[in-house]
Amino acid sequence: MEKEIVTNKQVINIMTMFLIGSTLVLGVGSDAKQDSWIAIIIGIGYVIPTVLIYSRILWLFPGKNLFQILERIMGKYVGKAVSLLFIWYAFHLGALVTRNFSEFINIVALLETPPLVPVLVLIMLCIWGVKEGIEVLGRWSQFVLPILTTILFITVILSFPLGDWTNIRPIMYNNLGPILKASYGVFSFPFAETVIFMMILGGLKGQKGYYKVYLKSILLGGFIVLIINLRNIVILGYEFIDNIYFPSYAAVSLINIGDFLQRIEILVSVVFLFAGFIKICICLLAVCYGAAQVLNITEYRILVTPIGLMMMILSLIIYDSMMEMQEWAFVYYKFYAFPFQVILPLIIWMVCEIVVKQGNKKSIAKST
Amino acid sequence: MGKSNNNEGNKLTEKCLNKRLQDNINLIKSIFTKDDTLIVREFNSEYQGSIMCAVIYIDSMVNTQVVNENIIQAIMCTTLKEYTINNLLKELQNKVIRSNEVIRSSDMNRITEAIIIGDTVFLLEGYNEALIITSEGWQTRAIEEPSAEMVISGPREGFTESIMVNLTLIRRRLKTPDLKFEFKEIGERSKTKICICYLQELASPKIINELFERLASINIDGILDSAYIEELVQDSPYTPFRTIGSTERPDVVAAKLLEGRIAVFVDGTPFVLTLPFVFIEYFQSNEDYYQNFLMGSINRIIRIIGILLTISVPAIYVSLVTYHQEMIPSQLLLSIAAARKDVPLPTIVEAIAMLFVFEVLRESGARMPTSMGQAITIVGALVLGQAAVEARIISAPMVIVVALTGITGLLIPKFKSASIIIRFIFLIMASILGLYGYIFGFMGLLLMLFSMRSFGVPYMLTLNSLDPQEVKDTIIRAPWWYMHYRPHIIGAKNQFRLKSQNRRQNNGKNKV
Repeated sequence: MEKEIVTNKQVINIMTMFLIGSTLVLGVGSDAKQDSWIAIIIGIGYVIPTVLIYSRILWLFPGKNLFQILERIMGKYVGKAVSLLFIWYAFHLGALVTRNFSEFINIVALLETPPLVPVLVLIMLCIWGVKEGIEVLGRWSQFVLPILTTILFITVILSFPLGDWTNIRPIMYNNLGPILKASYGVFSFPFAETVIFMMILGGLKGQKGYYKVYLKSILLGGFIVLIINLRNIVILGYEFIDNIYFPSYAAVSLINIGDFLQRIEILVSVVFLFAGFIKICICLLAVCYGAAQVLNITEYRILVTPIGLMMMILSLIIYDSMMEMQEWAFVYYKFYAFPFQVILPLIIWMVCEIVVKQGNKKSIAKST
Repeated sequence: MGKSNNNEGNKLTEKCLNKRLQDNINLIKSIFTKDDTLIVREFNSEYQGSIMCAVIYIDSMVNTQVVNENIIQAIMCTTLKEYTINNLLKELQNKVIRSNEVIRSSDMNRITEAIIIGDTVFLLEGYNEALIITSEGWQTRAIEEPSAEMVISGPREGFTESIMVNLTLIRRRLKTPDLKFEFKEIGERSKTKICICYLQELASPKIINELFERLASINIDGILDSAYIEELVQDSPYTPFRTIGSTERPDVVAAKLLEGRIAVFVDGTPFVLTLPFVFIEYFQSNEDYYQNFLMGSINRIIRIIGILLTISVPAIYVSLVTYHQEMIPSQLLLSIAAARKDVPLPTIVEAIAMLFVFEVLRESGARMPTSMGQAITIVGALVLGQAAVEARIISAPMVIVVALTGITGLLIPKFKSASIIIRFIFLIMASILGLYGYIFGFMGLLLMLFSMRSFGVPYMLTLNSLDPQEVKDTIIRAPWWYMHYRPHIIGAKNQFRLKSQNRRQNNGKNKV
């Protein structure tokens, strides 16, 4: 596979956008009611050891992505079978995010437009982006992320007058139980979804600082998610958040500065679309890398269009309604994702360590 | 085509000069048969034993004064003391003919070519060789200020159609032997002279090699303007953006050379190409550097905002009015609704029609004779503005939107082709998906820009970085004493532009 050059900074930008992508619009941690911000902090706490495992696996086999590592450590057939599981996960995640998009656009703006239209445009953009390669996506996100964060923080500052700090009180009224439960939800969506990056990062030239990249983006993305979540609770209150689909959108739509600066919720859509675009692109890229590896194709680019269109079709048939989507995202997703985000990486990590140790022993034996 | 050319070439080489003057003259006349601009002047001089000789040239391609005084008069009136019939030609070449360049040649191709480009050929009875005497002298335009790139402050010279004059203009600005000029000839029939110019110490050898490779692959019969070269060698030719810059101003070219870029001069056109060209160069005007840096930065930001407006305003207006009425403040919404009440057309049709008419006006304004300008102005202003609104064909806000689009579009004339296409695509996207379509369009635009390269240099060079060093000459124009480095990658060989921060540190201290 042809190697492309992406700097650590660019990967951090991509990963941060990946993290804030659909999270900002759907909102996270609503199980914990007014304490969801604590749930996010604990979720970040959970995710740090997990990403250390991811980084360790990549670090043990520099220059190889997850699929190549799997074939290396588990042999051709088992490795390919496990690769298929991960490919499914990335493919499914891409379709879920795409569906988030179409539901969002359909509910907040284009009520009568068939969902196919925006999704088709979006998927075509993603196919284009993925065909251009990770390098272009990296520079693209490096340009876009500062603009998006500026927009986000402007909306946060503008919404200050609306804040009602009693909304987050009483802190920890329901004890730790629901918070821990919610924090696991936060862990699986969005933070541990960075498992996808294992599938693309390794094959990149000059990528060594996996630990740094993972930790920095988790902290940066986590910080943004935390601030936005806190803002939503403070402005809307958790009862209201429970009743609406898109809390960030609703919170920003309340902003009204002097009857002039109002209804600027489109800014949230801008952030969502840009960041979500990167998220879908990364999923699609991971699927294409994996498929190319499994099928022994050297150039992943020929796979992009068919896989992208398949992803689009899956996204259209995967749910019947927005309610189903929410239920899936907040209730079942964490259980579904657990094997991909924790169990499989743990097993792979252990196998990796064993293989590397044996390899070292062998090489030492050879050299002596 | 290639085949016939080869035949022609073979024919010429088959014929070669012999020792009889009359045969030689007939030979050249036969090559230029049916070309009455060829002048053959035969004469002899008693000082040289009345041996017949001839000068051959093309009328009005030569400087008549040179031919008269330095060749004919010189030969007729000079006494050569020691000569034999064998060394007469050499003696004439060395002692009599007053010209800065005289070449002896018997190559028929070369002689023909020399006559075509305006040299004079001198033939002597008894020799199968000719002297090629430089005597070009045709009319050129004087150096004027280019009307397409006006400035308020700064040098006013502009390039002309003559390549040598243009090279002098550059040489006079960069007085260093490090400045290299490499000539090349392109075009099978036009035989256009082009010159690749760069500062050896700064320009990247990789880019120079790449350019030479691409130039070598050109196979075309005529190059009439530098745009031909641009289109034949540029990257991403299917995008509306240009990846090679062009300018008529020598100061701009000198500045680009100093940043490590390469300039391509083409004979016969005042437009000089500079490469690699990155996106931000659209927004950099030479005047930014001749004014106070604050003013320069403000102007640059205005240009960037203007371009954003010209590509976005129609799309945003259409999407707001058709899909997102809630985003318009109520007062404004009411007045827009009142204005649109009797208009029969959907907003998108209105927008496309108005933009089309505006482009028609612009194009006709550029093409028509100046004397008709009045008519266009009156028709444009009356029909498109007042009358269309009063007749309720077009709503008044749309006229304002189109006017804003048009005016902001004129901020950077070179961006015109790109802005027309992008604006139209955005408009269509916005009419299908509202603001979401516009956002999708913008994402696509950024994707395209970030995927482009110009001679291996990323098109959006350094725009994706917030590093203070990289921002200095992009959306703002930092003061000179902050810009120590050339833009990296382009000027990678020698990054330092300023040796020390002399100015800033000395500020105030000098007074003591």
